[in-house]
Amino acid sequence: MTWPFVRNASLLAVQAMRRNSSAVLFSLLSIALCLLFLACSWLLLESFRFHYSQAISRPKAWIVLHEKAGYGDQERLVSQLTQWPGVARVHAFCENRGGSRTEMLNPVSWPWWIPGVRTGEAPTRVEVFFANDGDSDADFEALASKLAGLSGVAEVIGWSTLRERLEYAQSFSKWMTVTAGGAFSLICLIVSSLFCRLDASIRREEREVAELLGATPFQVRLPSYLQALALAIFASILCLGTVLFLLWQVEVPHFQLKPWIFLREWGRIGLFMGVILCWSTFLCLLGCRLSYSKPVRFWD
Amino acid sequence: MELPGEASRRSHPIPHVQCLHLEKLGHNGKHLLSGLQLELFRGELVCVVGEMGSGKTTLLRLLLGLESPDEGRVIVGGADPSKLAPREAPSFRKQVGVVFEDLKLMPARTVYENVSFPLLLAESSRALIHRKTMQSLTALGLEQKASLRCGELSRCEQQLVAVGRATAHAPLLLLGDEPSAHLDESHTLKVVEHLKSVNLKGTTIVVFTREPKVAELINAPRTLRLTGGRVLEVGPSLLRGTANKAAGMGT
Repeated sequence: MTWPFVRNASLLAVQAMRRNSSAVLFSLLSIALCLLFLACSWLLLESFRFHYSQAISRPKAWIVLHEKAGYGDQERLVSQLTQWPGVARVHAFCENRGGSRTEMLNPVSWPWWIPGVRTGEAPTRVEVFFANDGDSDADFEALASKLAGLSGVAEVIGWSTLRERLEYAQSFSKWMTVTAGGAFSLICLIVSSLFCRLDASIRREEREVAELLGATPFQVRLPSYLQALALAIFASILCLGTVLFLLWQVEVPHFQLKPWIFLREWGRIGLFMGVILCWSTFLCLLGCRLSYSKPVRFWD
Repeated sequence: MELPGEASRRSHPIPHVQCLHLEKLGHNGKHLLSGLQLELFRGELVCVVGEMGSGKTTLLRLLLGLESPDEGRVIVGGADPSKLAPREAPSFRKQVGVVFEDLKLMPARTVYENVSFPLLLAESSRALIHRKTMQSLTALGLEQKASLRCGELSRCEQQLVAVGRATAHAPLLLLGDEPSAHLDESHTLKVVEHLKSVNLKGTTIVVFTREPKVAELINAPRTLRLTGGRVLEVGPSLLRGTANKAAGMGT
């Protein structure tokens, strides 16, 4: 293939994209949205993995307070627990209502982002970290059953139960991410394939003439491939721009679940951008290739 | 006395195009071509005259490999175009210039883009592509229309663009199906002169036409008459009778 031909095909692709601007815009936004969901599910998975590794690093128990328990009960329980042998640290969630609200609202410009943050809600949970890492699970369970006898405590979730729940949550999040990622990738594939199919049908006459004049199938399809490539690049830029904008807006050191924890280093940001760009390019080019073969002719 | 095309046969003893006992049936079972035998040598200029339905377009499609014969063989440059592998077909078609009866231009693209398309497939130098395209356009008087879209041109101008596109890359074989169908006499002359100049550069040219007048204008060394799917007459002199007959003058 000659360079002038590639240049000519690029010009043709630009002309075609201008002519089908509404289809381009629709496909671009759809692909960018799918990529955004894909990127967010990946970031959430990474966040789960990070939190999981932190959560199982030290043995602990969760104390769930009675529904009617107030801040006074919680504070009393915390001061009582800190005196206990075998307890290294106690972390009470949302120690006071004003503090909890400020803590959650401060890093975010838009309060409506955080559903369920209302004044007047009582804290419900206390996290207890055990002191001795060398003890067996049975020792931790014995300690947890002792905690259950304290006043204001509704339920104690022991270390083994907690670990099981975390493992389940981690595997569930992994499968959810894979499923969501697969679904969004499939949508990307279908959108790019339909876009290229539309372009191919618009250029049908031209493709026939080109084939008669000796263009190879790849040369005939090149303008469509270039359009798919442009879609992939622009959609990736749109998606990455949105993700980085959110990262800049929501730097959330106080959230329990830090969705951006994976992007805490520049190297990882680069890796993230590279993977999104390569994956979208692969999907769009594959979609374009499929649009010229039998399976997608079903939509004709 | 030397027979038509003899010089070409002497210099290129292996035929460039061979049709051996070609049989082709139409959809209604009618014989479009029956036992057609044809040999063309490299650099020959041949005119095939035939009335509507005589099998001219069928023969062109067979030579181009767009159809395969029911019986017999077509050999172009040593290969059977209808049996080419999908990978080989493009390189074969690049060497053949075709003026289709329905022109097959790209209406949304400019005259320049249409004419330069075969060159884009073959050449790697932009300057060379530009030079050859402009040469072809100038020869046909289209240089002023280079930037116009083909859809905006008259049928006559479109016909000239189709001829320009078929000749711009100096193909080894040029097949013209009614290359002067939509042209007036002066433009027909221009096309004939252009085809002759391309032929002088070594391109084998086969012009299919239903008008004996065009065949006379071309005045090819070999003129074949296609009737009922067979080549019946050979030689330019025999055409005069046909031309007169067509003009109602008789022989």
